[in-house]
Amino acid sequence: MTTIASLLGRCQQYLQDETAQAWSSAQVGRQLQEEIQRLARQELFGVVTWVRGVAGTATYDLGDTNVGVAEVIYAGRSLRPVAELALTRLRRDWEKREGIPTYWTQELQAPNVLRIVPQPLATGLNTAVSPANPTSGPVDDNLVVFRWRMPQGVEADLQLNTNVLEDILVWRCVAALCGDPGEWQDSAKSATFKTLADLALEGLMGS
Amino acid sequence: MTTQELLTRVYDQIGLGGSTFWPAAEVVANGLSPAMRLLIGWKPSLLIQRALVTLAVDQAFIDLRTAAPRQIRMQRVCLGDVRTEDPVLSQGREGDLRQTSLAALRGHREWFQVRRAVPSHWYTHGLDVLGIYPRVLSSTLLTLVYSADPTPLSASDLSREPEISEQYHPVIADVATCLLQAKEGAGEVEHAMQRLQNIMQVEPLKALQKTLRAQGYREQAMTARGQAVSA
Repeated sequence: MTTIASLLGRCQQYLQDETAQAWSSAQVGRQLQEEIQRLARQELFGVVTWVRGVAGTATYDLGDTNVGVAEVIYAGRSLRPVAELALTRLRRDWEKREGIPTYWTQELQAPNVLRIVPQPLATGLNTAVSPANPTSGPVDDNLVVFRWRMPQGVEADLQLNTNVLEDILVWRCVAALCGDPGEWQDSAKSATFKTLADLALEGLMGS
Repeated sequence: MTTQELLTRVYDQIGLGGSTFWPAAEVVANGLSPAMRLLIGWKPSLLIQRALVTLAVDQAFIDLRTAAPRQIRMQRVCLGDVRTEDPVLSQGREGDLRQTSLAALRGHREWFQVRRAVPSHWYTHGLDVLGIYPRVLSSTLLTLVYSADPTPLSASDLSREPEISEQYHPVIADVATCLLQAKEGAGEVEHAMQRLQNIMQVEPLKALQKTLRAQGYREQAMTARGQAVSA
């Protein structure tokens, strides 16, 4: 299980600050949290979520852990990603339109909000399904959203599938703290740990 | 090489005072284990594992966190059980599924509704989700072949050997030494990185060589462009 607390000790060893004199444990913990958010913004943590479609509702809250959306399926059909400006060019009253959803947009929404256009006319079944296995029935008039999540929580399990991600988090955290201007700044060390994190990420992603 | 032998090699390279400044637990957690993982990233074939999955009717996704918990990169998805020399067919079929992407599937708007007797393609969504296309009409056996995260070494079990091939054990210790020395900061960190670069250039790490070559080409191109501009 990976928690922020479990990564803290490794960071402090690389920082040569096991007694937390230069950087407090809270500061290292905060930096680790920021690095997790940065890794999430790079769209590494995919998740598929089943969302109930509601008649007359265009926007759907995907939760606080949502970072972005990769693909949206409504009633078994792929919706097309579109910019709101393009919708306005197509038709000025697109926000009011009702029908079978054809497009999805997130551009001018909060990161956790998904808008589908036009608004659906029907409400889908509220049958509970396993998120990893949406079945054919509930897919009717419902949404299947391929989205990017953010692992969360200081004490919660970050659910990192591989220890390589732990290395990347630790090395990026060390790079950031060593790079901060101040008494303990060490630019060479910061650059080195950044390079190590980049090498590990490149190994993981294959490019 | 056992963990103890790897530790000895690291201490020999660090020299005097090694075990004082780097206790064994730190060498293992911050040196040897991450070094193994870096090597796997650079040469994914160093640790390949296979996992058997039963795809249920209509199942579209496999959660890799449970099906292949140490998966780093999916390499193949095969019909049937191909974990041994004697493959077991699934519904009388065998062979690899082809790799595709969500973007490619989107080209066919109704891809998610398609159902067939056997799946033909696989794709990934991030590191954790494996998608299978199309959805199947009956339960199907699949083998996932993937590069895996090596089990971390432990300072409390010094007799354990790394999971990757023995030929690469000395390289683990060499890379680990560089990682450990990097903590010393300016003055020492440059030597550590220089040593790491030498290792990366000398060892036959296919994926890494490709990256280094690409970087070299990029630098050459940038230099040439700079010269052209100044001329």
